[in-house]
Amino acid sequence: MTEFIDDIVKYLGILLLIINFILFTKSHKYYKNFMAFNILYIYIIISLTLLTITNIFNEFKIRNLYLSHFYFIFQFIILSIFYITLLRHKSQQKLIQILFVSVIFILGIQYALDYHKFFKFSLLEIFLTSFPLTIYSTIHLYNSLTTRGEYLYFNAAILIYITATTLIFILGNYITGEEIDKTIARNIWFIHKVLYLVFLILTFLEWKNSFSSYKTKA
Amino acid sequence: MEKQFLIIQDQSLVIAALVYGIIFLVLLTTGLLLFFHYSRRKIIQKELEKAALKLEHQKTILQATIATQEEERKRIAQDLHDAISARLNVVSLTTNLLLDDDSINEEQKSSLEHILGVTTTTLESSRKIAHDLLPPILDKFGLKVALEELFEDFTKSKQVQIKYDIDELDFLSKTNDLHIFRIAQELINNAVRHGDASRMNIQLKKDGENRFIFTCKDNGNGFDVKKVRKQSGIGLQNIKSRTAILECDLHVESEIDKGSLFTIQSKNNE
Repeated sequence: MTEFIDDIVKYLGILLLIINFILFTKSHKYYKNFMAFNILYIYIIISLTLLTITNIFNEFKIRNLYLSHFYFIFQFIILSIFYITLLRHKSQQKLIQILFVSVIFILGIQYALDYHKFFKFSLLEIFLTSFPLTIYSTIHLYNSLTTRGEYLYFNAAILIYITATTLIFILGNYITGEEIDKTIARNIWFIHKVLYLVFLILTFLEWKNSFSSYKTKA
Repeated sequence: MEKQFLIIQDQSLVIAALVYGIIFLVLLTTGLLLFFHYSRRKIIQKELEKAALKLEHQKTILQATIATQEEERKRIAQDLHDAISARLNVVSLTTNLLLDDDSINEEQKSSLEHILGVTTTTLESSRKIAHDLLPPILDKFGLKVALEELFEDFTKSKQVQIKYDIDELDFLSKTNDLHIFRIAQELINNAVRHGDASRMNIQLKKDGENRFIFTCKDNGNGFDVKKVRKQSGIGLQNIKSRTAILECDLHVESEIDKGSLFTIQSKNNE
């Protein structure tokens, strides 16, 4: 029974991601001049690609943990660019640029020193690539207090999803470890799937609110 | 076996902490989002109130300006009449008296006639200026007659053919009479000057108890209503302010090359 619900949530997530991809593709021709939209679109494409690869690896029982590093780093790079285009104050953009360079630099050194870290969850990487994003998200919320506010749903999605899942991933090595009871581990990944579903629903709402009717915005 | 059990119990403790940690973070971020959402709503509402207040203030200033303008016009018209016209009348009378004197020679006579001519035209212009500043006919005979005279003047000067239909509106105060008169004046001026109109149709009708409806239609060039709404000139701004003072709604209909229609109607107070 629990496995059944688990599957439902999983496939709902995949379905919603595909739906989002189609909807954003449809709106793309109207909004291709908007930088933030393009980056969001790329983010969705990469999410879909990574999800597909993960599932293929799963099918063939290949260990796919190192894909998570691509996920974290891609997510960090793309969303950093996303927030650079959204946050218009010079000082805020500077903050993102400085954090961006430092994080990439630190991670680069870490993997240069010890590439074995590539086959486990890297706690430092998870922290360094997630925490700045929640900061940017909060800054964007603050900026939107007095303005019309762009991408507020997607911003909310990022804030909730990244904050909560950072905790899961930080304990990732423990959960994916050999000695843990598999049913307990599965429950945790179930929570993660639900959170990802919330993330996708909020992304969908973003599309519905901001991009579904082209005329109202033009 | 005992050890195995202990490990599992240990695990479930960590997992429970993790689950509660996740729930805590989700609630925290949701709370943060809600906090921002409601603060934002409050701030935007305050901004809107401020903007409305500013607009109201601007309106009051504009209305005060119009009232002062009318007062000044009235004063200047009065002064023109009392100080200049009255004295010029004395000059013209005296000159006439001198002209009747037989003892003056031809040269002096022609000079006096010149003085008389200049005095008469100056008198005429000062009367005209005073008339434009504050039509005395409005004061003496009321809005209907004043408007009729205004329309006849324009029609006579061949600038524009005006057809009109005017009701007697006895419930309007003198200042409101003047506002309607000025609006009509401005609209005709606009139609002739900017619109090149050759025909106009103006109606002022009673519209129930203490209410009226004023329409002004012309066959001029017309204009883009949306564009004008954004950046209306002083003339239209004046009309808007006067409409507001009259507690009326202004409705403008126009299209390029299709003339325009202005409707001013008393607000529904019920």
